[in-house]
This record gives sequence, C-alpha cells and structure tokens, in this order.
Amino acid sequence: MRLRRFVPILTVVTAAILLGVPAEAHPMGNFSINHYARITVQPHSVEVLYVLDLAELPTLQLLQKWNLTKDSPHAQIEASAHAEATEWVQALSFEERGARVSPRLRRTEAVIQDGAGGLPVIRITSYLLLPAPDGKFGYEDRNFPDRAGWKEVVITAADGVALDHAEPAGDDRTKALTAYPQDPTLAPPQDVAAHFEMTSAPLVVTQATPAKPLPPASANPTPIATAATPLEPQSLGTVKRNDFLSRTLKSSHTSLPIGLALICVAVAFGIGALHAIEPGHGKTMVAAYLVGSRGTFHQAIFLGGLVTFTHTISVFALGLITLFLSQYVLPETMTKLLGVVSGVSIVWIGGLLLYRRARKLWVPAHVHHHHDHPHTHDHHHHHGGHHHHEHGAHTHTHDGHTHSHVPEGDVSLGSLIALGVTGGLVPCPAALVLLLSCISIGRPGFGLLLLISFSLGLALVLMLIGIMVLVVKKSVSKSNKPSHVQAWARFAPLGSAAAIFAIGVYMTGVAVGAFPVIRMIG
Amino acid sequence: MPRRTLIAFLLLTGLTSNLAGQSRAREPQLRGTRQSTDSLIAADSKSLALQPTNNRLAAKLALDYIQKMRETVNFDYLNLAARLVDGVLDRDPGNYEALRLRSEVEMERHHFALVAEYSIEMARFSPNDPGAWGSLGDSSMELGQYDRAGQAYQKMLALRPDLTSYNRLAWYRFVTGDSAGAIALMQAAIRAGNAAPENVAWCWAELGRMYWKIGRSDDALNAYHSALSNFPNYYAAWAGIGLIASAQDQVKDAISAYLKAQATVPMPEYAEALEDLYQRSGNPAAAKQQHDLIDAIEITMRASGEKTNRNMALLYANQNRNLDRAAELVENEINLRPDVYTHDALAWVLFRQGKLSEARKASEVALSRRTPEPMFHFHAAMIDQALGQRDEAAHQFSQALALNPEWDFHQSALARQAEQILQPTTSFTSPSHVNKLESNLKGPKE
Repeated sequence: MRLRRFVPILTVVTAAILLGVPAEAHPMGNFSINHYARITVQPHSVEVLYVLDLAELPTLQLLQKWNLTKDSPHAQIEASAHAEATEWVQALSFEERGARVSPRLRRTEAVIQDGAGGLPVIRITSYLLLPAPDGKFGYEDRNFPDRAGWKEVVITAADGVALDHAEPAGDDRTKALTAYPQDPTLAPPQDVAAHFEMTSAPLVVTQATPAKPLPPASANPTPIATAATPLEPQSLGTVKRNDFLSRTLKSSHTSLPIGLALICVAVAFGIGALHAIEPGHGKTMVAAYLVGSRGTFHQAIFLGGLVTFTHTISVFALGLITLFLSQYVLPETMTKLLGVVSGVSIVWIGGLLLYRRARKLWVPAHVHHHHDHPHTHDHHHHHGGHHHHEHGAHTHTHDGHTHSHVPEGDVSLGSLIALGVTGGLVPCPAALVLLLSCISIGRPGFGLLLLISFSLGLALVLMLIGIMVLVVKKSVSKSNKPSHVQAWARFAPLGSAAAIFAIGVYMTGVAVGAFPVIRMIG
Repeated sequence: MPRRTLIAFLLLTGLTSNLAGQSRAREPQLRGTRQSTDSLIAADSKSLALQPTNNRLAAKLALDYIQKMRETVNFDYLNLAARLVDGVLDRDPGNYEALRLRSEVEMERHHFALVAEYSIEMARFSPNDPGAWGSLGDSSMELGQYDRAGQAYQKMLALRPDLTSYNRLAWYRFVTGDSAGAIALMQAAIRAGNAAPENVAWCWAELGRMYWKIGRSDDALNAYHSALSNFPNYYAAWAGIGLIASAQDQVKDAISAYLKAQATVPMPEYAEALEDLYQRSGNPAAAKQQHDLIDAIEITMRASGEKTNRNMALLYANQNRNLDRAAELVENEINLRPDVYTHDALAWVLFRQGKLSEARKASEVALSRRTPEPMFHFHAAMIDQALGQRDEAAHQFSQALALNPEWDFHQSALARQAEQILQPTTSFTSPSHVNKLESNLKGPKE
C-alpha cells in the first residue's frame, strides 16, 4: 500500500538510487549504522564481540565529534574509538535473571577505509567480557535506535556449554559485518535484543551455533565489503532451531555425496531414537498406560508404532500445511495450536481414566458390574461373532474363532488409538525443520528419507520402552509380592491415569508457554 | 460420548482453531491491526525462503521493503524490493502485482514519465484497480499534469476511499490552491487509518506541514506531535517541530528537534537548518560541522553520478553558494519533474544567478496553481523587486505573509521589512534598500 510520498525523500537517498550504488559506496546506504554482536558463552565467562560499522556520513560525524580526520594518527583514532566505545557500552544492556550486569571493555579496534567519493568509513570493534550467567541472560543494544542499518546478533556456545531458548538463533550472516548478503529474499536482520538460558548441568548444546574463535585483533583486518560481497545464500528456517542435521543440510546446497547422505540417514535414525527419550513425546504415556492396563507386548508395539506414525504424519501434514499457509500463519503458531489440541485431549483421556479407575477402586458394585457384564465393558474379550462397532474395532472369524485384530484385554482399540494419535500429534520441530530445510534447498525426497529414518529410530525406542515396561511389570506380578506391595499395586492403574493426566497438563502448558520445555535433542 | 467421537471433535476443534488462526493472521491487513514492518519482513522472508519461487510471497516481501524504505529513508531496501520484483517478472512477465510494484519502485526512483506510461497501461488492463489510478495520479503530479492527476485521484477515491486515496487527493487539492479542502481530506485520511503506523504518522506530518504553511502554527505543532505518537521519533515530525521552533526563534528547542530528525536520517536540509541555528546560537564550530556534512553529502552525490536534485539546488540557492551545481541539479530535474516545486527551485537558483527574466518565467509557473506556499511568493517577490517591479514585489511579500507571517525565520523577517518599505504610502522606496535587506538572508555568501 503506497502513499503519495516520495517528495520528502530526496537528497540523501537519490545518491544511492538514481544511477545505482557504485562499488565504493557502503552496501547498506551512505548514512547507515550497522550493528553486530556475537555473544560467545564460555564455561566461565561470556565474550561479546560488538561491532559498529558506520557508513560515510555517520563516520564523518564521528570524526567531527573527535576533532579528527581520516588522516589523523591511528593511535589517536583508536584512543577516541575506545572512549566512544566506553559510551556505547553504557547503552548496551546485559541482564542476568533480570539484574543488570556490567561488562568489562577489554579493548577496541578501529579500522578506517575509503568509501564513496573517498569519504572514510569506520568499523569499530569492541571486545567485552562478562561473568558466565547462571540461568537466564538477556542482551539489548540501544545505540542509534532510529538509524537504518543491518542489526545482527549471533549467539554461540563453547564446547561443554549448554544453552536453551536462545533467540535469535540464526547463523552468522555477515562475518562480523565484513560481507553483507545481497540476496533480496534474505531480509537485513533488525535484531537488537537477544536472550538465552544457560543450564547449570550442560549436556548438549542446543539452539545456538557452535562457538567460533573471535576474529584476530586488527593485524590484518578484513576489508569492509564496499561492493557488498555476496555470501552463500541461506534459507531462513521456519522454526528457529539449529540441530546438527539441519545445519548439515543447509550447508550442502550444491551436491550431496552418497557417504554424507548415508551419514545423515544414520544420524537421523540416532536422533530419532534419542528424541524418543525426551519428555513429552509419548513414551511416558505409553508406559503409564501399559502399566495401568492389562497391556501386552503386541499392544506395546502397536502403541509405540502408532505414536510414531502419528508423529511422522503430523510432520508431513504440518510441512504441507506450512508450505500452503505460510503466508498466513507461522509454523510456530500451528505447532502451538496442535500442542494445545493434543495436550487437552490427553488431559481429557487421563481424567476419564482417572475417574473410572478411581471408581473401580472405591466403588465395589461398579467393579463387579464392570467385570461381569461384558456388554458394558469397553473391550471385553468375547467369542461368538459379536462386533463391537462402538469402538471402531473390526472383529471377524477364523476357523470358527471370532477375534479382533486389535489388542485385547483391558486395553481397548479406541483408547489405544486415542492415546497413540494424541501422543504423537504434536509434530517434532526437529523433524519439521529437517523436512522444511530439505524442501527449501530443493531436496524434498531426501527430506522424506531422513524423516522416515528419524521416525524409525523414534519407533524403535518407543516400542522397546513399552516392552521393557511390560517385562518389568510381569516379573513383578509373578513374584511373591509382599502384602504392602500388592496393596500399592492396586493403585498402579490409578497412578498411571494420573500420570497421563499430568502429562496432558504439562503438554498443554508447554504449548501455551506456561511451562518450560524440557529438551535435550533437536 | 464415545471416545472416537470425542477425538474427532477434538481434532475438528483443532482444525477449526487452526483455520481461525489463519483468518486472524490475515486480519491485520484487513482490519488495520498494526504490525511492525520489521516483523512483517521477518515473517514474509521466512515464508519466501520456504517457497523461493512463490511470486505472491515475493511481491509481498517487496512491498514490505518499500514500506521499510519509507520509514528509514534507506534506499537499500528499495534495491532489495526491485530485485524481488525483477525476479517475479522474470518468472512471470505478466504478473500484475509485480507490474504494480515495478511502478512503485520506478516512482521512488523518480522515473515519473515511465511510471505514467506503466500506469496508463495498468489502468487500461485493470480499470478497477485503485492502485493503477493512484500511480497515474502520482506521476502526473510530478510531471505537472495536474488535471490528469486530479481525475486519476478522483477515480481512485471512488474505487477505494481509504487513507491512500484521501491523502493523495489532499495533496492534489493543496498544490492546486485549495488548502481547506486539502486539510479536510488529510484529516479523512488519518481517520481512515492504516495498518502501518508510519503511514498514519506521515499523514499527520503532511497535515502539520499544510497547517504551517497557512499559518496555523498551533495546529501544526499538534499534528506533528500526533505523528510522533503514531510513530515514535518520526524524522519528518521532528523536522516540522524544528522548523516551527526555528521560525519562532526558539533556537535551543529547534536544534534539539532537528538533531532528533538527523539521528534517523541526515537530510541535507536538516543540516542546513542546523548550520543556521548553530550560527544564531553563537556556535560557529558546530555550524561548520553541519556545513561540512552538506559538503559530504554532495561528495556522495557526485560519486554516484547524481545530476538531478531540486532540494539540494534550493539549499545552495538559500546559502548562495555552489550556484553552478545548483543550476545543473535543478535544470536537469525540470526535464524529469516539471511540477510547481521544481519551477520554484529553478526560479530561486536563476535569481541567485542574476538571470532575472528567466527566473520570473519559472516563478510564474510555480505560482500558476495558487499553491499556498509562502516560499513561492517570497521567491517571486525577491525576483520582482530585483526587476524593479515594486508593486508586484509588495504584493508577493504580502501574499507570503498573509499565508504565514513566520514561515521562515529569515525570509519572513525580510518580507515584513520589505513589505513596509514597498508600501505605496511610503515616501521613500529604494530597490537598493531591499537589496540590503536581502543581504541579511541566512547563509554564507560566496
């Protein structure tokens, strides 16, 4: 939507547009001030590389302020830059758990080069140091808030440091403002704030790019990209996560060697397996349900497989929906909605089970009715060619023996499907980003392959967990349990129902942002 | 309720909420809910990254970039938009949305005749597209073809009465001498609102300028503050506030306001104002810095080969320096943009060069639409008095002061003095006296 409004926008800008930007001009415009902060979290400290890259006009104004020119002795320029950086640092906000933390300005470097028409451009790099945060860490840059420019924040973590909820989580796009991407589909970032959480017991680095050493001081400074050195095009992920596979795929734009492809498939399988161990991915619910019901190995495999199947299908579906609706709804929004649907469903089912099992424990008449009247029970084992349509199960006869193809016993087909579907409904962001990354780089087929491999790993572990639960359960039930154990065992179904209910509440809470995500992989 | 029914219900609920989310996501544009341009750019570039060849997404991102360019005056965004539009047209040469955006890009590049051609084609192809009529009106205004512009804007307004059409018609009315109608229409534009806060702020700032030019300084100030409420630190609003403070000799406030405008975009006219204000406040060193900044802007212009720029020409004429360069800039511009403002700038440059008869002709064109611009009348008066046409000069000084007796600190003071000198009842009048007054005009002389 445009206005009649080019009239006031004239003199400064036409220099850059009428005949095109010359090779010497600053790629972000001759009055831009470009910001870059790389926050590197070390085990015992946080290093911040803060760079301001000033185009021709702000450079002139800065030199005027210092009463210097581009030909002044470099030592004077650096001294002035250091004094200026001291002021800039005051406008940088660092917070640990909401309390302001003051960084130490270790040193400053200034590099002056020629820009348009021989006017100087200056790039000032400041090296800051802070103590390692314990918990949440926040950053905000309040320097030159209204001036146009590239504004980039990069968060990196050293080996052995675990970060979570890192935002922004993008890659280093300009290499500390030394090369500005010119791909019009990649918008110049406008990030002036960042936050992350440093965990006290680091396991695996997530949601942050690997730490890179700070660039060398200024012995041989990288030339400013006066001609806007194009970087390798990067796809913006729809889900801001940087798992290993996504990064690998994004870096493989041209060709994918078979060896690397196989490694990726294997890694996807492994990540899927590890992913199953994470909370909130169905296996706790599978275990809880099987403990509380009279589950069998078949049911464990069925349930694990169904959770995985739903999980995978939901990723496919969300990927397709994302591609179709991405101009209207962010994928994160859809994930959140699905999370809420899934969580509320599980809360409902858990509550239903809790209610029924509680009644079973404390209302004897109902217990009797429940066990002795097959037609009032959801999935009573039966013979005689009767169909239980109400649960959607299909029974038929083989050699005169009528049975169902679904798990039998206390576990009904409907409840299994309900749990399996709802447990796997929330698409895993890691799997989604795999698929979308592959699509965005033109490898949809490979994305599907990776997703299948990922799902197989996930299924295997979920099934194994279910089987293990049943093995342990049966070994316990066959043993001569003491009376108090038997007494407690009566409450196991109730406890499992409560666990399902609690899981549902947690998943709903995570989806609406009320609870933190507990995640190790992906 | 059977469980499968329950699950179906829950899934259906989830689907419905998804669809509701979709419609909510579209609402901001439909209902005017405000989203920051940065967030729109971020979201749309993400979407485009997933579907790099989706023309609709590319066009949408290009539109975001154009809006960002308007907010920051950073034409790097225009270049990004242009490349996206080119990409779409490469894939689909007949893509109408891209063709419309191409017009917008070319308009920002001041290729007005080309835009007029494009717009006529678009209006012929899609006569119910208000955007086509809007761009035809815009280009016609810049080409000085005001009748065509007025007709195009009227068609646009009939098709879509909203902020974008109201503000255009307001501008047409102002340029063609109807300040009351212009103000009413600009107020209507503001009432119509827009999803982009900066667009509304821009209308407030335009309204402030209109009020100021007809002497309603309090209303102008209020309008500028409303612009700032809509879009904090809006450079155009701070510049307007600075202009009012400067004219009212509130030097400290004026410097503060102009510095805020300059913090967003260092326009040469802001540096010109600051140079004058620092001189008036007794700070020649700071004035020199602003003067040097103007020179630096000139260097970047020359480095890019820029040969048209009427604002810079006007600045040089005000400061009575670099007149050859001023003439080059404005004479080239008159070929591309022969509207009343370029004619006024040309007249002022020619006056400074001593080409009085040519200046008079250009000034007559500038005044031909009765645009309520005190500056137009002041320039005409100065030309007339230099030509010895005393009555005409007195009339033009009076016209300028009647519009706003304090439109510019220096020029309005000079006009007041000259008006008294040139009164028919005054026993003694001398062009040299006026020339002496004129030498008091701001700015260094070469």
